[in-house]
Amino acid sequence: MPSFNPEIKASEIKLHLTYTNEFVKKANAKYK
Amino acid sequence: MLNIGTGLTAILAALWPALALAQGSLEKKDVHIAVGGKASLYYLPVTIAEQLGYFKDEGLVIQISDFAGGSQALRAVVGGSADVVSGAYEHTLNMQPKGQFLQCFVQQGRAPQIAIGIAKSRAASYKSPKDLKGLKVGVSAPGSSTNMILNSFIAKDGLKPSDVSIIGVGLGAAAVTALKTGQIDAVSNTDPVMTKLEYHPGAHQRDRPRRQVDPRRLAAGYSGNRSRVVSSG
Repeated sequence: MPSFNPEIKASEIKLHLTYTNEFVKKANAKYK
Repeated sequence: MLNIGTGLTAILAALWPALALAQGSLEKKDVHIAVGGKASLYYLPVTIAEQLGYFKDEGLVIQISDFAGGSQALRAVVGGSADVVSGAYEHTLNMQPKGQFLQCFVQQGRAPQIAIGIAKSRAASYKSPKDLKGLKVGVSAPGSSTNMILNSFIAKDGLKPSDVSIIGVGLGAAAVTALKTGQIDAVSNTDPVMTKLEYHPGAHQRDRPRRQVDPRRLAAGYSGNRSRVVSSG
């Protein structure tokens, strides 16, 4: 994405804030 | 075949900051989901979960609003008219520099599920992505994941997004018609559009990305994600 998006290239993306596995883990536990 | 291999996939995401959630209780029963082209197989898990009543099983009342493309669905969440967007993961990345912190909580596919094709009338002169320079390329909507994939694809050959003409054609019959009638020279789109074009004599080339998640797990992910369905604006 930095190759075509100057905003991304100039930013330090906080990747850990872009996703959570918390709810999928619960769903997987519910439907084993 | 044009395999992009970016790893971008359809997801469900909502805005941070999330509210604290007491496990086991619904924070929000009525959830408004914005989708950019619901008829696309890209969003099949959402439709299956809806049609088979999986959201209802989780105690949720879902309203789904369909938009022409992912960028418009995204705007619905950012603007506060929807709680959740069913769209591409990369939106969580390109919204951060704008101060909008979206969080993915369910991944709906394991492959991008977006293909790039070129009209047969142009195919003979196509050897690499740089040959798309100056052509009219149809995407679902400007700024959507189909546009992002295209940008990524042509960047491999040193082209800038401005080196092609982007035309929004949606994710349905209009996209097929646009290529068949010569309104566009190439297309970045999802199934069923790409399959229809593949079997039409006027177009060819596509990749074969597939793998959807279990829709029941997706619905459970929604119900478990109550804290993330609150828009912070």
